[in-house]
Amino acid sequence: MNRQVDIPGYAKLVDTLANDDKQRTIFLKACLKKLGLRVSESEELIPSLSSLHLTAFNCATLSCLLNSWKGLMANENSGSAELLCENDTFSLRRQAMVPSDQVSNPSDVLKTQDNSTNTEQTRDFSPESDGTSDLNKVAKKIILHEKELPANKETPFFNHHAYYTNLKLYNQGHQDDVQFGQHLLYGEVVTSTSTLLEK
Amino acid sequence: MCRANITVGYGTTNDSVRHCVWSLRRLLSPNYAVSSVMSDALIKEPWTATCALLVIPGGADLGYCQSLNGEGNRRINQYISRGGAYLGFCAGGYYGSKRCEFEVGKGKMEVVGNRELAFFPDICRGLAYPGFVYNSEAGARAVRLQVNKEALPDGQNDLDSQFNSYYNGGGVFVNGEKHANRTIEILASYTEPLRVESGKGSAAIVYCKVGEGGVVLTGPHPELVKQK
Repeated sequence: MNRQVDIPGYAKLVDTLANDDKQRTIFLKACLKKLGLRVSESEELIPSLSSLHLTAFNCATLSCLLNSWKGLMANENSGSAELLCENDTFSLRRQAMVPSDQVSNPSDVLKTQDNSTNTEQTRDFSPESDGTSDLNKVAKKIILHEKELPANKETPFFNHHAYYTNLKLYNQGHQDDVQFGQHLLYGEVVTSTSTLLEK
Repeated sequence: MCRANITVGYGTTNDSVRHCVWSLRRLLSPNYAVSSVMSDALIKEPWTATCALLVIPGGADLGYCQSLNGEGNRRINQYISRGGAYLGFCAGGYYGSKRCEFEVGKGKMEVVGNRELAFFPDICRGLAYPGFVYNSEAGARAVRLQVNKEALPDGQNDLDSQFNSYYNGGGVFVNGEKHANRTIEILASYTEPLRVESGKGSAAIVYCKVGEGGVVLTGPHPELVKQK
């Protein structure tokens, strides 16, 4: 929220809310506790990991990329697989945008989702017993955008459409460098990028 | 790791989603992974198994009806009844009530209709305060809320009896005091005179017990963070 929004009295609105921000926070925490959630009592802000989004300038090339990873895959089932790497385990999930009967060229690495399966999984959301998480042990989720780029609301801090539009313009002026930026792995909150990519 | 899923899709605004994600991450990390999920995923993916909290943010609840009526709401209802949690801010508050009455008699702004989830067993009626314009801060204001400490978990010693919250277009939960019982509780009330008829009470934020789960619905936006 921006104090410079051009509406009379807006700066005062922001100040009023800022003065009560501590109370607002305490109240919201109480609401979350009322819902049975464990809220953070720490003043340190540790953001939780977000999903990674794998896209490509040409969506069809993602299938080739997945094929090249086939030797590293494990636990393949309907619409998901695990990619076991030196440091991280990645949980690959197909983008849930297109019903399986409309996917024209499914990768044979990931099976299309079996919509006839309708069993409710048992609920289990127990955190670690001491409340902490070793981020190296947490499987990193990668959503594969084989058909469509993420919508702005999926990645509100990065506009994939704008990125690839600008990439296309760049490619037109740099014919000798058309491989640059062809694949993109985006995550809003990630662990070490060098570890993610190199290990 | 269990997740807090913030729904995005037709009807939500980019800003609402960003504020929700940012605000809830501050409060729920590292115990929960807070992320946005497309509304389609609520219908197509097995999200309930790892979801500790489903959030429906601000925007326009007609969009939520379009995406989630039928199968989507059936899954949400089942998830809550089996012990899940739902947090609906503003449009999410209208959406979680039995009936939405928004800007009645105001031409193209009017949105009136029954809602499938009906966690709050009465109308959510807006505008509580005038001036709302879609995708604009024109009608934004600070509203002073009276907190019902008795309805909140123990240990809120630092919580004052009143505080200011951001408001922009939300409703009042009609007859909140009439419905207050073992399963419906008022968590906060508007203190300033309302623009619409609110029946008994001026409920701004309500808690509803639904099966084994719980629901919090809001008219204002207590998730909006403002700092100097």
